[in-house]
Amino acid sequence: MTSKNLFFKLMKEDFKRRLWVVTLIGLASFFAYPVAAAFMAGNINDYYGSYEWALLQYTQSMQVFLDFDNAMTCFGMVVASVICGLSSFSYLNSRSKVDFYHGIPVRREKLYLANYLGGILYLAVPYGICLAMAVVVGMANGVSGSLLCPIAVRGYLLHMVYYTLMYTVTVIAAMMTGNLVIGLLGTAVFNFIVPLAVSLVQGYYLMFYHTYLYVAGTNGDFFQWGIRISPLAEYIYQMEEADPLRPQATLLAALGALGVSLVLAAVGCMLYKKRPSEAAGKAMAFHVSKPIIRIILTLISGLGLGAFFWSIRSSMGWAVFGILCGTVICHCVVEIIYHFDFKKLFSNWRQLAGCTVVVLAVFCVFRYDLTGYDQWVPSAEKVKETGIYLDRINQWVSYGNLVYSEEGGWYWAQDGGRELVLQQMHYQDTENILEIVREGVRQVEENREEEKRGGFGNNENSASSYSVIGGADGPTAIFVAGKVGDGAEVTETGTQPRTWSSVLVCYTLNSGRKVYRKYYICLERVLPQVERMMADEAYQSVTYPVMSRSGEDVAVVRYREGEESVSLTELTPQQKAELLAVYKKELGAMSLTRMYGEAPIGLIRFTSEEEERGLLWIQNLEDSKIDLYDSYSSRQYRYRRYGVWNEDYYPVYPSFDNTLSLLREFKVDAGNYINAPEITSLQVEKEYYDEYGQWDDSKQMLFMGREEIEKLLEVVEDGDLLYYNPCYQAEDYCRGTVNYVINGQNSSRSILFPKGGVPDFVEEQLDAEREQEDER
Amino acid sequence: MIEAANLTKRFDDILAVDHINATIRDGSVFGLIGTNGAGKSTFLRMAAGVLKPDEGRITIDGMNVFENEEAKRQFFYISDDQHFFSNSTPVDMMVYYKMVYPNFDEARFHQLMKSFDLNERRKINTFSKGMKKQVSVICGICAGTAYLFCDETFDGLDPVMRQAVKSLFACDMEERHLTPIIASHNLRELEDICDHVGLLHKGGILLSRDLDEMKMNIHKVQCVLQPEMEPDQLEGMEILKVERRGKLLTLTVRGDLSSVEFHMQAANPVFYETIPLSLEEIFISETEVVGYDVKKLIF
Repeated sequence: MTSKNLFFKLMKEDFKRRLWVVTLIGLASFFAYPVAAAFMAGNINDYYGSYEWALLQYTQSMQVFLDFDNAMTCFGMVVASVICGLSSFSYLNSRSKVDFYHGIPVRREKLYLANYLGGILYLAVPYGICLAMAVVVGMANGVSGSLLCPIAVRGYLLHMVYYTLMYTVTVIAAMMTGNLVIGLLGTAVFNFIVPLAVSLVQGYYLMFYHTYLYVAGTNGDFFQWGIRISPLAEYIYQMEEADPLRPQATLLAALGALGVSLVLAAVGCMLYKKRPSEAAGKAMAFHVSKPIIRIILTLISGLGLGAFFWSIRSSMGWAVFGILCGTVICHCVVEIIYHFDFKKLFSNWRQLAGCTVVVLAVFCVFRYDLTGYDQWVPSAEKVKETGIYLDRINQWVSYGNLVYSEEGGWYWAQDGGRELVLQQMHYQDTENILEIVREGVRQVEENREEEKRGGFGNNENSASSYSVIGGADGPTAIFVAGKVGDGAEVTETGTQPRTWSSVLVCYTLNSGRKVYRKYYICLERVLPQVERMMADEAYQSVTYPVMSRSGEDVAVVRYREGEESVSLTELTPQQKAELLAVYKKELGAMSLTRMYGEAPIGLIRFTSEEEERGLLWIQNLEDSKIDLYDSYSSRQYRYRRYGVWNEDYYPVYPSFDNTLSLLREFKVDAGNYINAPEITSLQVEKEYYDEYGQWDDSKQMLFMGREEIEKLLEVVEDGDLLYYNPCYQAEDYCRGTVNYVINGQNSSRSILFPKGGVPDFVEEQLDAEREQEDER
Repeated sequence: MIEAANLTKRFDDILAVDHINATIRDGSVFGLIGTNGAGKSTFLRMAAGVLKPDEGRITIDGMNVFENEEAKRQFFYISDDQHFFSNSTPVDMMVYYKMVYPNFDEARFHQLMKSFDLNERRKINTFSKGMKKQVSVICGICAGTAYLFCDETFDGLDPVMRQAVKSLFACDMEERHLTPIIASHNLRELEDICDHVGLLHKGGILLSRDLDEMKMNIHKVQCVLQPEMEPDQLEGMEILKVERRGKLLTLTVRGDLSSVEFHMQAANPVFYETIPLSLEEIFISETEVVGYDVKKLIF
């Protein structure tokens, strides 16, 4: 009998033993693929009626269904990997089975390899067959086989690669444990422990370091890569990132995963050979892994529970309570699992004490900023250049571009404006930035003092609340929102400190290392520095993408005001270039001080040939006969339409004389699109607050008289356009609505009245009505 | 030949097998006896290559057993809780064993299954404990290995079946020099089958003797001596133990039979008779000599 024959016979025997696994996977795959494909075909035909449209929808659904980014398949793969991984070596958990398998004249490597490969084949074969059946079903329903086959093959191979990775990790967990349930817990530990630990560390940064800034792809690499050490996280990450247009990245990652799987499979084999047979039935197979796992879990639990209680009460006492609970409970639970014996709870009390001390120390380092993280300001000599992003100033700017995808047409692709600005800006006046930063550090210290005195937000002059904004990658930044009280000092410019902004800074040190920080400052306190920064070409060119646009690229100039939108398609290239140049000059010269006194009157956009194609595509789709308001696709379309239609506009201020003059020259009646004769009525809403500053009541009043409307229009400002002004403060305005008729169509638009600017007759009427109501 | 040299195995802080040195000769039946926890199963599991010794080595025909396919082909191991695949039949087990033991005798398997009146196609999980033991022994016999390791295999077999199995062993020992190594906590079970016995206690081997040699060298003498004569006045006899019931004395003495009879006749007793000792009695006597109360160890 040759060794090769024995190997295949072992596989065959293993197959007999685990027929239930193959049956289970086969049944699940059958319903998940061919049956589901047939079901979708019927469902879509019934729903859409029109064959062409139904076929289009079915084709798209089948593509998503068979491809790598099918979340349902991912879920199935994860479940299957756990079932196959644990069942492949479940015999190691039973003494009688271990005696049987290890007593026969077969080397452990052969047993391992036969069972390991079996676990892969038991999924690969039924899944492959059912996937092929689904493709046949799709083809039978009219979808092109040449379209589906490559997608199915790609999906199959990629899912199998990540299944192999997940499965191998489960096998290693099985090798390291001697009990099925503990093996399952071990698999969970391997998949979640690193993401959990990394998220916890990041959570501590976010919670305690006021100046910490997470920037994906840069200083976020540590966290991102840390999370991706988990096979499950990597699988999901690659699935989300998979882009058929850029297959190289997915392919490289898959090859990497395959390589890691092979290495882990070899590690698994080594563990199997080292694994003592007497480990059957015990919690852990190897003594050496016991304290490592216990200590890691205890540390994470202590830090996690400490952070939990701190986040609720912001009290050191409660945090210590949480830390003690976290470490003691976790340590004891692990000991019970290890020994199945309550008497052994504190058999390693020294480790417990050590872990508790370490957790307390780590907590204190973050809590009291013992490393001086928040106070750190580099010396100007050590900084090569800086990038700076003020969300107050940049919030309205569109970062990204119009792109086309085969699957869904044109859309506005955001390209992470914050990261883009910080990394691409090469601002050289470091000392100016450091002046702004020092104000930020001073503010942080003030906030910390405030915390010590009794909590955040009790002082009117301080920032009043925290919020964490994040996405799938976890929290991305903490924003502190608030305002200053009326008693704040008046700056040299005569402007009160009231405009708060997050300031994100990227220092490129002389060594090339990039360091990121975030501050929250009052712009008026550093107004000269901000003005100086805004006037710098290096700042402008990155902050406003329009500044980098050349006149030759401009195909069409679009101007929008109120509900009116004008496309200047007839302009000569010289006229377009001239208009762009004039606008860029005036936008570049626009200072923050001037923005305090002006509100934009219109929006302007300079589009390229490529972008015009996107806008035309949207327009054509809108004009098509497809019922766009009744399906999932229409919702997707509306979302896309908004991006394509509304992004990349820039404000035109009344002081942009040259821009306005040129626009008027090109027959654009800028500043006059809402004419009094077209307005039918105007509604003003005033809010009333009680003595504690809490909202008490609001009153609306409708004005229809021509004279009243015209008086009100003298002070009114367009509500939507104020979004483009960084100095806009919502609390400075009363809300209102203007109703008008254009081309026979009733329409309305949100407007704002500056507080104090509302005509007396309006205030009097509103107050009188309120008094009458109170009397009633 | 199986040789254990300085063989040691620990389970956490428990010393299961403590520096054992033993030799098991081919062609004899080796009985391994001891109380529960004495280390019998651990010894056999190390001999079968299931457990790796912490210290020392165990070899079969000079080959280390652990992870050595060649050495492992020399024996078939029947554990105290022999595993059968779930829902399997004896034929399924035969197919598996045939795959890993090149000399498996399928024809004999069918013949023995018939002889033992066991249904080859019936699921093993419906068999009684004794029937499962029979299936294990049949598989072990048919594997065609030089050694057969049996851990408490006779436990659960009825006397008829025990005799049948013993006959099988005797037959294979005769025909192909099979060497069964049988671990049991019941000395009476091994009495009529073992040629050599090793007594394990607390992980160490207390005694390892050839049974015939022991039987030849120890005897029980029932006698009534002349009045006024005491057993210690019997000259030339190594008396290990004296029991007295009235005038009737039962002496356990060491030495060959002719020497014992010669000295007894020389003492001119009123009456004497030599009686063969059971294995149990031999062990009691031998271990008491070295200071152990074997009744506490085995019975």
